[in-house]
Amino acid sequence: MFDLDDAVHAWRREFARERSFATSDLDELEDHLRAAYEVELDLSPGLAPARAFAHACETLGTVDTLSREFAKVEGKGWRRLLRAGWLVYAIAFFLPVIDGGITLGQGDFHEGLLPGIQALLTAFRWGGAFGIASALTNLVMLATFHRISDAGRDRTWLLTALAMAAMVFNLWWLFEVGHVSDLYPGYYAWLASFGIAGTGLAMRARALPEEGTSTELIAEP
Amino acid sequence: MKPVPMSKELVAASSRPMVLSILAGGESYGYEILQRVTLLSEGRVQWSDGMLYPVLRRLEKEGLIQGDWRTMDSGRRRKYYRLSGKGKRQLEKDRAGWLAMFDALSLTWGDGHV
Repeated sequence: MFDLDDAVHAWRREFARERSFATSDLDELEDHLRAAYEVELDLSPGLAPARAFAHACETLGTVDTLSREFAKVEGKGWRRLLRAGWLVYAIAFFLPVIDGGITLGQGDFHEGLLPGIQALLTAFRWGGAFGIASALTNLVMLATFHRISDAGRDRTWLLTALAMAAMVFNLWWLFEVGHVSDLYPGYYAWLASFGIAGTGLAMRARALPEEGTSTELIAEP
Repeated sequence: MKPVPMSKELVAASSRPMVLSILAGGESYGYEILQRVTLLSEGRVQWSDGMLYPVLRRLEKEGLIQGDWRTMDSGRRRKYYRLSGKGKRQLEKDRAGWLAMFDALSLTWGDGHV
């Protein structure tokens, strides 16, 4: 026996898993669903209630489609996070990264605290293969500057993966240097900037429609 | 009438003036707005149901419409929207733009260019 309230609760549970929907959004969509269900039954009195509800759900849209559209409305969050990542990244170059005198790879650092920019040059010069690879991960961050608003879902996911991979890869410095306290805020800020920017990119990618699909206000054929 | 195929760009561009115009005629809620769109266009314009709500949310965030929850006799809650002062000014601008575009296109098509 079909129970409308049970069906609505099940529908709501599925939608509530998506963070794109506020409770008020779900209330409004539920009201629409119930209204559409009633109209379905009014127009086709012989229609089974379960079929009427299924049709109302279908015309309302899938959870994926709607969550993407709602996420677009709240689309500024990803941009703020990405900008925060860039800011932390830029600041990291002026903060001390490591104490001088610690042997790293093939050479010794200078005396005193090395700011990020100098540490980057040192990594290129003295860091060996890993140091160069680590320094090159900065290119990932630079790639996030290039027309990121116009980037499609695939490119945004690729950059997300690269930023997160860069963060994990650069954790290696902790093992190389030997002790957490030997690294200074510049390193941690630099490391975190990849994670912050990567999270912003992931939010953006999640909100974007799949390549070649449209989720605009056009009725499904 | 059958729905007329439209590009997503045209539908997206017309969604704001359409919603604002409907609300200029009085407050309404999501399901009713969709029915009005279908009725006014004689079935030629049909929006997919759920897609209206992100549009309403965006217009509300932009301050063009104001939403207000009410409890109906059945006990169900429903969100009604009305046009804000900012929305009225935006509608005037949209209306001028769309009418200018419509006039220009009508003249072009009237000359048999298409």
